[in-house]
Amino acid sequence: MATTDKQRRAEDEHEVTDQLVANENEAQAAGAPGAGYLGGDAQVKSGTATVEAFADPTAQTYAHGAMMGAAGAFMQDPLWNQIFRALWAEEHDRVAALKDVKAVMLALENNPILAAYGECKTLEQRGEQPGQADPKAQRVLPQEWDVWLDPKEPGDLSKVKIAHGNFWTTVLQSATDGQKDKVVGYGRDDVKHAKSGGQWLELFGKAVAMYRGGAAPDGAAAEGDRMAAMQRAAAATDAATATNLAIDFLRKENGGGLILDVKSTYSTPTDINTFIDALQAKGVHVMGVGTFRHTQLDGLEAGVRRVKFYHGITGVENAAKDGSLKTGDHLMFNGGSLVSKRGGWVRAESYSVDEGAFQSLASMVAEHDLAVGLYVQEGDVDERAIDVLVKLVNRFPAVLKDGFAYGNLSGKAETETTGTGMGAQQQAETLDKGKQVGGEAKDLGERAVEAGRGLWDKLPSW
Amino acid sequence: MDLSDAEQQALAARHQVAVAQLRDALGLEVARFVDGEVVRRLRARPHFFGRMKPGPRASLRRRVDHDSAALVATLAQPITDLRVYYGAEARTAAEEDAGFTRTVAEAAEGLARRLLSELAFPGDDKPDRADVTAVDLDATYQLAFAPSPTLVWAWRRVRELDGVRNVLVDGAPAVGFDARWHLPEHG
Repeated sequence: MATTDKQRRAEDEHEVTDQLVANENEAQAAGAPGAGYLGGDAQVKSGTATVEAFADPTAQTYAHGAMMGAAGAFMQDPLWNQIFRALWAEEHDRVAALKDVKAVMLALENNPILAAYGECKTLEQRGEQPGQADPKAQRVLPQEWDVWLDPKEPGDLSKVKIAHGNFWTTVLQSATDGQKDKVVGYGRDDVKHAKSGGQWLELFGKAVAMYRGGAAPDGAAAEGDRMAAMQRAAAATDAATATNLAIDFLRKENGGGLILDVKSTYSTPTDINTFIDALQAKGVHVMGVGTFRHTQLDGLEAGVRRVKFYHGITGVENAAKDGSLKTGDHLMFNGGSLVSKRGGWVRAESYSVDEGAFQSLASMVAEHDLAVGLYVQEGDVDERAIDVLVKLVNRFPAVLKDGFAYGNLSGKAETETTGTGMGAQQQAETLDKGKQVGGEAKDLGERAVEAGRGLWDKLPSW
Repeated sequence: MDLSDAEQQALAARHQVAVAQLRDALGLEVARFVDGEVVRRLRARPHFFGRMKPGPRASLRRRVDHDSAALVATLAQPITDLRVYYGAEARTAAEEDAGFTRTVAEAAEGLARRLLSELAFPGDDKPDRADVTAVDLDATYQLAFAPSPTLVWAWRRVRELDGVRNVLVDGAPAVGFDARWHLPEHG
């Protein structure tokens, strides 16, 4: 839910924005496939603001959480609302009842129909016609899967679960090193009942087929008949066809791919390689594997980027100090840890990139030749924080070589969320800061000063 | 025109010395420029410099030296290309000097700009404030590399030797001041 600060800051502005977005959605729907149905019943309060867009489209590394930041706009879009309901009614009704946009984002994280919406909208941003949804005509956006591999059959797409896992599931799975071999999450309901990889692909493909079907050029999809046309398109798309259609969005030659965020901490590198092989056999471009448990990356097969996840910049600093950062590492951390929020009760809120944090990042990148990417918690980020982060990525491509895995359309941001983007990860960042204050690690400068002690006795001679 | 072995060796040795002098002059010049642009701003911005932590400060200090040297190494190829290009063109010395200056200036200014921006120096039009700790995402820096007379002299010397060699390789008679000065052993 938006904070008091944010509500006071721009209630009027948001009312205007909400109305504009609602009008835009209706206007789009009126001329778009499926426009015959305009009765979306989503309760969510959501708005969309225009922010800085990615100057280089590939700097939007992938759609975090299956485009979870666009969840509010998705639920307010009558056409996509109907596709969602047609393909997965129970989930639609559950999410449609939610009013808080952050709750909607969390509910829709990893949702394949939201991912299809994000891809189709991205293709339209890149020049395609509404309803075209052709992954070969314009470059698509890579996707992310939060994966829980089956402990016994890690290569089985019908058994891998695509789910973030709720708070307690992730805590229980990752709480201590002692848990690393235990299969906690796979047995918990939120993961157990999540869609499998195979189901995810099928739903994604059917959603795209419905979207295309409503725009069929044969004239059958006239106003009022679009929903029927979309239903026919879905019915005509069997599981294999839908899966193949989805895979076209994940092919390297189309700009697509998958980043696997391995949530199953019990999975070994061999398990992960088995899963990668299964995806590659289907034509999916596995761009990389990311995890907070970095030992899972040891031994991954060549050609797959190994991405070390961190909560924030402080965690990266600590890794640089304790020697666990290696030259050439790919890493990602929450970009909100670079952002400062000022103002609030008296002055207007403002968001900016913290000078010291950025200097630290740029220095580590230079010293270790790192490839760094950012992400945020889309449910906890103000549109102005997104604006400054995208500006940062645009201005410093050499520092942020792996861009920003922003889970919303380029140039758009949700207005009903607030914060720097850190969300619950702020607690982990604070703990990491505590390690520094406690003096458990020295920073680069201190080490340099130590190394330089006694230099007067060791002046180089000519 | 045929050259004796001794004449060829003498010319090659002088060429080698001239190229080494150009590389050394370039190294000094780039380092002086980059260091000068960074230090001038640090001195003018005590609040900003005071806030910079030891880690970034150490990295910046190292990069001023290391990246300047690396830049000179990467300039070797474009400068060689420039010499080949001018060898096939009839350009005045002033035109050649302008081309050389532009090549070096773009590289040196680019490096200085990169260091200033990556270390979050505020734009030159912004004051040094104690209370502003946000990265200036619109920062611009006024940078204008101008080669010293020493660097231009080193470049000209290489070009003169290039000219003498080219004339002799083409079999033309070695006449004129440059040939008589740079290859006195010949005739």
